[in-house]
Amino acid sequence: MSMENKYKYLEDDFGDILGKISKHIQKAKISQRFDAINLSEEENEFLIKAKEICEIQINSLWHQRSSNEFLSYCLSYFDISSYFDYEIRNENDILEIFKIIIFGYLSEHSHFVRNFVISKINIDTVPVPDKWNLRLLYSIFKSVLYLIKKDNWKDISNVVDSINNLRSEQRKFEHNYLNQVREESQSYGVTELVSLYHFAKVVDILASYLLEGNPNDAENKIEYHFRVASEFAEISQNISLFLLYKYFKEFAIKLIRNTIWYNLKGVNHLVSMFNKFTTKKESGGIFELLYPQKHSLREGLLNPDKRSIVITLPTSSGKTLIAEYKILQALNNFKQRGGWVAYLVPTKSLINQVYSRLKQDFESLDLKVEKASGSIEIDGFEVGLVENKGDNTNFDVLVTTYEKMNLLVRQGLGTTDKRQLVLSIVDEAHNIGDSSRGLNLEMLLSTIKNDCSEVNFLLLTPDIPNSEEITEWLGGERGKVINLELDWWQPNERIIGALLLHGRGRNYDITLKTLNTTKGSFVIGEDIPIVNIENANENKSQLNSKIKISQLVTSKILNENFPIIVLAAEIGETFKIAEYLFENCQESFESDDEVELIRRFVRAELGDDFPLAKYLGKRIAIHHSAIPDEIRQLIEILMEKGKLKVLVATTTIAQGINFPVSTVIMGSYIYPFCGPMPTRDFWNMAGRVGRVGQESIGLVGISCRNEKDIRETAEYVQKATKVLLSQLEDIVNDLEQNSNAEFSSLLFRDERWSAILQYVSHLKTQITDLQEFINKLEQKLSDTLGYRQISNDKRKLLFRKLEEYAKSLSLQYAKWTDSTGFSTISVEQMIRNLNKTNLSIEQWKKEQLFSEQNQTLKNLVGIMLNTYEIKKPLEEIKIGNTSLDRNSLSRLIIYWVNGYKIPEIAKKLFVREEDSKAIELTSKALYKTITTFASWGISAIQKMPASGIDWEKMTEQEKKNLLNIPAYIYYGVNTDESVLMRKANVPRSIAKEVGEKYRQKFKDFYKHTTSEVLNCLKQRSFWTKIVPENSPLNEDEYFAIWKKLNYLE
Amino acid sequence: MKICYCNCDGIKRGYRGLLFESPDKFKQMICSEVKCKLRDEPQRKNMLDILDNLKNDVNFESSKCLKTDYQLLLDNVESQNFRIGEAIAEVVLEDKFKCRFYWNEIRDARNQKGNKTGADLVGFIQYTKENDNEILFLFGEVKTSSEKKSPPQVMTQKNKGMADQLKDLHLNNGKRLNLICYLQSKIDIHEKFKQDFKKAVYSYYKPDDNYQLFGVLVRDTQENENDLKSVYENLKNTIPKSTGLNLVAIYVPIKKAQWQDIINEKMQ
Repeated sequence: MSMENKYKYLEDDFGDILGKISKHIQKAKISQRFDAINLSEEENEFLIKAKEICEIQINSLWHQRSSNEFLSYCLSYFDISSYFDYEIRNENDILEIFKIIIFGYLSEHSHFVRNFVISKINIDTVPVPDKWNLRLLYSIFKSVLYLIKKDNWKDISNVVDSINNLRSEQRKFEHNYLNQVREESQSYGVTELVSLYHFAKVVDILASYLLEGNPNDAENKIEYHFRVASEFAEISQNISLFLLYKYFKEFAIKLIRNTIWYNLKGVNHLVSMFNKFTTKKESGGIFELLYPQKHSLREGLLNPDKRSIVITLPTSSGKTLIAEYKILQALNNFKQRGGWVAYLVPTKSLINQVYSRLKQDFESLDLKVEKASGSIEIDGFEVGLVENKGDNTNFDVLVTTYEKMNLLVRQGLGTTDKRQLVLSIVDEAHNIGDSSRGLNLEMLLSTIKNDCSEVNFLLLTPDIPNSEEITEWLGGERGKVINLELDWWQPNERIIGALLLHGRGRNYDITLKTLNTTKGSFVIGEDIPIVNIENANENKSQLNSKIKISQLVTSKILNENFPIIVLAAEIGETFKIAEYLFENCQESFESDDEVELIRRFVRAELGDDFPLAKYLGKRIAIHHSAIPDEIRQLIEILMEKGKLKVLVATTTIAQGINFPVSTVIMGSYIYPFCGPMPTRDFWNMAGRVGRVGQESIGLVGISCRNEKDIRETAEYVQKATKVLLSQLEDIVNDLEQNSNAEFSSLLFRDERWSAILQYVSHLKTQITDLQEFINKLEQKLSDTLGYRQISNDKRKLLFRKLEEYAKSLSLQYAKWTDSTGFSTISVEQMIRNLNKTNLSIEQWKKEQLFSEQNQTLKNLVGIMLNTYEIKKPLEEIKIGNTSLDRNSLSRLIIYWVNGYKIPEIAKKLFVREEDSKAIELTSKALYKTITTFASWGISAIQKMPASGIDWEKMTEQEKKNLLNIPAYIYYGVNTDESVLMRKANVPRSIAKEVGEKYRQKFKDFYKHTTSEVLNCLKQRSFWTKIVPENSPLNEDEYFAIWKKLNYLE
Repeated sequence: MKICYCNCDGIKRGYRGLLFESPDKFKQMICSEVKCKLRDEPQRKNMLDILDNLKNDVNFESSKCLKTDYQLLLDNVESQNFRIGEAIAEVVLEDKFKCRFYWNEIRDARNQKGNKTGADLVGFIQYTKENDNEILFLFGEVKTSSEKKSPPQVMTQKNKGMADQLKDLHLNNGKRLNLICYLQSKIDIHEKFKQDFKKAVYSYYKPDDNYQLFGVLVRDTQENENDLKSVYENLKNTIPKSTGLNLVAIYVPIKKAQWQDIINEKMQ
């Protein structure tokens, strides 16, 4: 929605009086963020007039409260009036604030109202006068503010107490008051009091309803009390009160209708239990639903008839709660019969986030939430997930990544009658269109749809124009789109602008040109001065890159009281920018225990020379895939708490991270080698700026070098979101050019082929008869989104090619594919290469395999470097422009598994690099590549026939031990118990020690689930004497870090 | 009715005295148009039940003090002469100034004791301007006085006198907005009202405060220009020229004490 549309009615109806009022409102909004923007007296007067006109119009439309016009006027009223500052000096001020609250609520922007109350009113300083009528009004007002703010149930409970307190004060104050007014205003005072008593009762009812959903007939009661209150207000001839009651009644009803009680009473037992639990939480309790949440329920989120629901919603619209209700509905229906829910997320850090949220929210409902790690292999502790096709499992919700789920479901998890997968929730489902992992996700959903007969789907995604097509793909006629990308509702407010350098020589300034966008951002005609620099060190002509502009702007606005994210194009750039900011930050910061703790942890994990530790001293951090997951998570926690000034990140930050950002400075929206960031990704990221709960309007500033850059940027942000397309089309386009190519060559050209081939080979494991398999092939291909989207000619071409593949496919290879996540082509190649190595079971012993003298790992790395799916990322590990050879790679893995610290590994491998650069390269190699791809490769090799492992002859325990070998690489440890500890987020530097204690206490620890480990580790006794020598952290601090990592604080 | 004195600065500003010469005509007016405007009071007595039930309803005490005061109010409402004065003012303004009121509907906005949120007169006034009708909001205060002194105290009294009340109506934007919204809330919307209202809103929000203030003094005494002169002189300097400011004194030939009986036709 453009801002012109937001204020359209006001501007259209009163343009001749108010002129371009939408411009003034936007300027007012922007002025709250930028000191340089000030409204003239005339502009202020326009706003005051506009506000009054809005109220008059709201009144005119009072009987059409569901009309767009009414909504628009309420929104305009709120936007204008919330710009002004308020002091509470008299009743008029209170009535003014009441109106802002009421009209804000009636425009469905309760979240903005809460921000307004928190940022502009100090509730505790609202006076409570002695004059009884005022005492009542002020106390009621204060109570309403608490009802809006409600940090937790105590705020609401205090409201009940406060109204009761008024009742007990009646005797003390009423008599005096009436005596006083009898002289001056005869007996009108009495009627005013009676009206206020009824008003107080309404607030009492609201508080009770918010707390527990009682009384059941709250709306009728409210109607009654306001009828009486209004009549008495009229007799007392207090028309302000009369008007307030008229407005407030609708607010009260809206508030009731926003509550979880009103929306979810009687849905089912689990939902009712959940609601009781969530309202009693110490923090983050939920009493009211945001408009999109309410709307999704109205639109049939919980309708069991709908097999696939696609919810398109902007970032920050409260999607996790929507998912939680859907989970509860599914479990309520199917839990007793073994049904369970998969919550699929794109990143490892999201596994942790979602897992801990669900675990906390569902723990009192006796629902078991588990997570499977983000590794693309199944370790010894996870093997139970696929034993007997998962029939031995007992979780109710499993949180994992798309890739892991692909492995699990293909090995039978969720497909049996005993343990049916009944709901798949796909977070950030637009990743279907992602060029690298989109096909994997698409094939996963197709497989789930094929293999899990009772499954329903809930896809959560930002704007997709063709969401109908997606829902039809998964649910046919039983599909449903719930579009929460509403043109009039916004989770937050922001400016998108171009940052441009002006001036000459060493004197220049940077201004922000606000840009019109398709998704409601504020715009003003004049450029906003951001930075003014005189006698700079560098000439303007030297600031010739967007990155330089970004870092300059950031360094100059660093002191503002807003956390900033600077987006860099790639990992190396994050270090450069952070270093610049560090060097140019003159501010000194007071010591903060939490920041210091995390700094020490960074030093413990990454060494003293890793620059992040020093950056944190100036409240600067970096965030990208080369930083360990734990540290990224801790940085996010600091960011969420507002303890960081700047976070320099790559675009990976855009996926589902839950912290407040008020400013994003983008060097560029163009990825290196990939072209412009898809608009959906841009908005997914921009949507986080100025998010719910933030006081100030957000800013996304895009650096531009010249007018041409500005023009291009302006066009870019105006672009509509594109249709979500399967990556299949792209692949088939390539096939058209190379239709005779072998699959190995196709895979070599484009590893995305792997997902398709795996999909086909999985089908082979289900249909052994060749003819039937071929017959079914096309039908199963039609189950994919891509096959539906491509033209007939392309379908034929693809089918012919895959038919060729299918005919050559053996069942055994197909099985290997299912268990490894590699295509049969790669499997074949691996086997061929393995045959040359003559591996024996002895060589798989960890002491052998990870011994520095042993050659086995080098050979295995050699095989991995010849495997299409992982070849490219491994080759990305470079010294200068040269990729690491298999010798260096295997050494890297060995050092990592054997517990060397990152700086130690860096010194051994990147000898020619400076210390900090070497550390950067090492952490990037390990966290971005080795942990994921080498563990995946090793895990696959283990399952090959020439691996030297005879799985059939092994005991269960031996199997588990062996399956943990890849997990050693994934987690950087070398014992099974430390793998288990790492799965429970115990930091790598102490995983071995804590694991040892755990092993001593629980001999049968192999049977423990991650949740059980988490519960045990809450005992402080596991954390004694676990600190390595010279560690910057002590036991308590490690324990504190661990709790943070598991969101146990 | 004749003009007994007049001092006008254009059509929207000035003061004038209007004299009812014929007692019969005055009687006829108050028995017809004025009476029409004095709708019966609603059954306030029913509200006593609500008071009795206060403890049950809202858990506040139904104290003796509350009940006594409410009874006082009921007694008082029945003998409110000021309402007749206000009705006379409206009838005269409608007749002589093209004003439109919605008296019956908005009666409760008026409070003779100077309630800080209300006004005695809320309506519209129509001016003809270059082939078009300009409609303005009209806000006003009405005073009824038999006092011999000129001007009577009701005009000059601090805070509650007409001068201060009109000043307050001018200075207090919020009060006027409340009156406008209240008017909107209480009136059954019909076409005529909608037209008036829309035009008045436009005029009101155009540059300069374009609305009309009226101060009406209903007198059962000898006509005297001093009743209005000094108050007008005082007000005209405070209230800017763009705002209409008319003061009107209506001199009636029958004593205030008799109005109610005449309306109730007891005199017959």
